Amino acid sequence: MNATPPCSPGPSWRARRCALALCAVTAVPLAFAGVAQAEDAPLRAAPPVPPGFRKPVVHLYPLLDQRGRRADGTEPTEPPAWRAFVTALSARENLNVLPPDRVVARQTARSDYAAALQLARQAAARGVEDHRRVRLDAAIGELAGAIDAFEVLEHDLVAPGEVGAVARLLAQALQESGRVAEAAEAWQRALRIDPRLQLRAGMDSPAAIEALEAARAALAQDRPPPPEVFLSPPTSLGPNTHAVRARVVGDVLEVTVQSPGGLRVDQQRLDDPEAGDRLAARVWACLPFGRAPATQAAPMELHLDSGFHAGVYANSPAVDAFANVGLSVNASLQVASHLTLNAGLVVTNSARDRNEDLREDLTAARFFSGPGFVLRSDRLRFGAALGVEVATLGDVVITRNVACKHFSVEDGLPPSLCDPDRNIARTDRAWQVGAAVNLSLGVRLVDRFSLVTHVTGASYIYESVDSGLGLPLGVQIALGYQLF
Amino acid sequence: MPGGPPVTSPWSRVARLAVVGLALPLALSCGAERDYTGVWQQVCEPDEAPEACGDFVVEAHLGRYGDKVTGLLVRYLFRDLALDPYQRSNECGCWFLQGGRALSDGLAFALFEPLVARVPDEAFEPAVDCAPSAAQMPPACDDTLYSVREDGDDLLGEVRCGGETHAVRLRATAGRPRRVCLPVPVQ
Repeated sequence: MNATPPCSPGPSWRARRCALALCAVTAVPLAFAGVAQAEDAPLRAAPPVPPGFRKPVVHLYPLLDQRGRRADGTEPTEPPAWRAFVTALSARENLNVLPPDRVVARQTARSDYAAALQLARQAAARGVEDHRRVRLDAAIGELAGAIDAFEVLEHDLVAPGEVGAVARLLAQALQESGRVAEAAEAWQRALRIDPRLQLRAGMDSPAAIEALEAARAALAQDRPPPPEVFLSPPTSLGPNTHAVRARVVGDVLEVTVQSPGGLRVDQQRLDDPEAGDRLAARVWACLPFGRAPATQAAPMELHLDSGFHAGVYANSPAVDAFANVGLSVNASLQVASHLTLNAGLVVTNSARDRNEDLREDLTAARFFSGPGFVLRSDRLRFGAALGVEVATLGDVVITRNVACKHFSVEDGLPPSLCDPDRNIARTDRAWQVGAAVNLSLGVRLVDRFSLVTHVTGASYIYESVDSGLGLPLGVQIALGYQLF
Repeated sequence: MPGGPPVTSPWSRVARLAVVGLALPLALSCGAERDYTGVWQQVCEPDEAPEACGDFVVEAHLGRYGDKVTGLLVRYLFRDLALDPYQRSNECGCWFLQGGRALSDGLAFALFEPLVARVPDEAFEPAVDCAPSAAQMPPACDDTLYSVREDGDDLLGEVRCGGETHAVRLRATAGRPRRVCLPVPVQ
């Protein structure tokens, strides 16, 4: 816990300076808690907050009034400073403040709340019955368990009278069983839960009344410590959620700000006419301001194109370069603002090389897949992708013997002019795997249609059969369509 | 200029490959070089032939593959200008071309086994005038070399045979080049 001494009252500029000082004192634990004050600081100068601003969520719990009855026996009323504090903090534009009634409503609306409350009430009922039957040990166990369950549920905030009555019965049972020291603590606990707790003369035992009033006096003298729930680090809060619990003790309004990983306590005397506003200003100053609107994730886009492909194998030592022409299909899925996932399929058939050394049409299919990035302007869309290419290449039949090219064995060609076994090289179908690059430039023509040009290249690192052909380079002209 | 191979950086190689990759598909779009592929017949008309035809005329069935040429040379009896000599009945032997090269504006080729005439099919009966036997009647020498260049739509050149050189004009004619040229069946 990081308790901060109260600031002295004064002009508003002094209050701001005090708030800044408080921030400085509490910066370390808050920073440790992951509350990003530093990164939020630049936004302080630019109210109002923009759309999409991530406001810190502040849960304002109901005020716990620990002042007890006045000397004249009347109930203390809710201090105006608390109402002013709630109003001032709720007015902060950068905060999303849940007022006490909504916090209680959320508390009781939890799916497990009703069932757990029923179990706690059943335990309390068993304790009451045991006490009625003077089974004090059993009553003490049941009542203590019921109070613990109520506090876990924070039902004491919702119905302090109900929980306080159970706590009173526990103290009474302890006292009746002769466990005086434990009874004294139980009376104080009952008063912390319900400071308005009263016993009736003539109805309750004088010893109980005396013990209760002694506990009340001890609390008034010692200033009761904050309840356990005020001091325990919150575990159920989200990273952007903070709980503010307040209590009135004596003439002081004390608030505990529970943030993920850290606590801070501040207080303000109630006799200050601006107590609520001052306390709200200090709490506000030490809460994170919020976060800028998250960068809007680019909506996913799927671009498809289909067209014609022309290319060559730049690495072709066995035969002169020859063109390969065919059809291409490409898909580019934009998954982030500049990030794409790409896939493409090219099916080609070979043309002839200049000397027609390649004797059979060479069919090839190449599949590419890989991530890439994309840049776009109004009508242009440039993309570059680097990935893996898997290709299959048909049989490669090559000869440099001109007679073998022109004649067949049936033509009566003598073996000395052409021996097919020696003069014709044949390579079976090959599978190739390697790295590939795909550069694209699209120009939007109309609506969702575009003209797309691709430049592709690959370098194979694995070949099932050495076909003698590698490093395919190609260009594609395609008609593109943005599916979504 | 300093000696040794030129120094090239990897980037220059990549750039060169890129240029090659982009330019080659365009450069190759015209396909393989096939000029002169077809059937070419010797011209004997006096006002066109550079030299009078003798007892035989030739018909070249050419196939060009880039800078190389192959095919057949078929010889026919030549009797009279009024008659078409390129008839199957007039055939007096065929030969495979060997060592054919396509030049910038012409071509040259020799004959494979020029002293051994072949026939179009096994049942072929050569003309009597090819006697004593067409299959036995080879060209005059074993180093026959044709060298012709473009002359308009024709190929004009010479035939060297031994120490002699004869001028010849070949003219393209319709038809698919013949490929069959079989050895003379053993009787």
